[in-house]
Amino acid sequence: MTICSADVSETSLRPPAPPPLRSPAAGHLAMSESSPAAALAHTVQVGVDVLRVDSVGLMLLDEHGTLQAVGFTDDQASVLEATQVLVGQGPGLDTMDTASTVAIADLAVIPAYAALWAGVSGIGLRAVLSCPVRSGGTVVGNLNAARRGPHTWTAGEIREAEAYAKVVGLILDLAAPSGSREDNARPGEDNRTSQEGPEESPETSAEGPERASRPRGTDEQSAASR
Amino acid sequence: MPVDPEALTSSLRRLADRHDREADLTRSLNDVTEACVELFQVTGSGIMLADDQNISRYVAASDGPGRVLETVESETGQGPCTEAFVTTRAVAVEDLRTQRQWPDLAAAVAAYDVRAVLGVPVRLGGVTVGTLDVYRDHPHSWEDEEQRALLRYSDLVATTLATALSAHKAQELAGQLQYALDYRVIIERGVGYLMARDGVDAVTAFNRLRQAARSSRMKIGAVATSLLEVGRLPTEL
Repeated sequence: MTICSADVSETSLRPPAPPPLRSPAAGHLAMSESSPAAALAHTVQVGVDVLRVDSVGLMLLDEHGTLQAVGFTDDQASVLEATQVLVGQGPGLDTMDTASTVAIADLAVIPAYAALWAGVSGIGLRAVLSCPVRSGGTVVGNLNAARRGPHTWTAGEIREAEAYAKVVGLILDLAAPSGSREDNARPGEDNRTSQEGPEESPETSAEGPERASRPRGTDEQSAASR
Repeated sequence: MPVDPEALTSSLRRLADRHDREADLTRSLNDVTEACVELFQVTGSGIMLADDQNISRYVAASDGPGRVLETVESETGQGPCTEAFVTTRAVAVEDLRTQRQWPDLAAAVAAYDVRAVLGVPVRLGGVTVGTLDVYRDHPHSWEDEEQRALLRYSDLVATTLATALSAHKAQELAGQLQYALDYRVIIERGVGYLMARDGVDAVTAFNRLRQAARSSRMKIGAVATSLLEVGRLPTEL
């Protein structure tokens, strides 16, 4: 118990003298301390504990529609994200393309990710679970949970990561400055350099049918475990 | 750096461009409770926050029984969630039906399958402003690991609140929580004083403050201030 335990221990027969008052202002906290960056950094970090994984990364579309590595818990996650963007392949990018979760048991044995693996083979992360992050019903990024060593993601783990990605999306919604499309329209808004498909595709609508997760590498993972 | 501020700012600008309506904090908190159910495989989840009397009140729940649990706790001033709020620590109960500590709560939720309950404090800037609560529809002994994980998730509830407050998307809640933040220390001191003076536990002491506030039509912070100044509750003068 943290409430005034000292007060309890210091008396048994008579009440203690009232403690000196603190100004109410002393309890005033700067509620504006939480910048969007701090909030997202904290959210990504908590993801490691709640999802019981080794690393978590967050990739988001920027204002020009380009996918960027935005947040990560450690150097490994940073490299994994940056390399995906660099080589143009990986579970995060596939999540954007399909607007659905991509579960990779072992990056090392996916032929389609050969270039990615060449860049990340030294960081130790093998299993990656990438879930779409949605805002306002559209996919705006992806949350990547990763483990060292091959790992077949269970249905429960996939549900949990998807639930967590939903929380990331709502925190983004809250963090985004207020505004309307008309108020904030900019020249060149449609000048997207990549990943414009999912946002414009009806497939990305939250109102659309539930999409099954798209586990990949199951066979390869089995082979790896042999 | 764990987050690239420039990249994030650009992404948030994109979201602002696409938002036709403001994010709603209550809806967001409901989503947080639904995600909590998925993440921790519990039957239901809810969030209580301090009102402008620093009384913990229901604000969001994943289902009806969870809402009933929290509403009854607000009304009766007893239960694991209330105790977690007052004592600022996790409070677990294996089976509400068989425990004897909170008979009014047990009777009120008897019609619902609310059995095992775990309440953990939600802290904003180090000050407890509410609780995150989960329940199961069967008796369950809450493991330390479960309690730690839920405490971690309660950090996310605090982050959600702080984000909304920082973005000025929860002005009513901001005023409400500001009172709790301003007076929490004084109320805690008042609680501690009553515990020592009357030899009661923290929840009983808190409820005496609360009752005195109701009877004297004062805010609980003012009651605590008065208690600390003169050593008596307004109703004892």
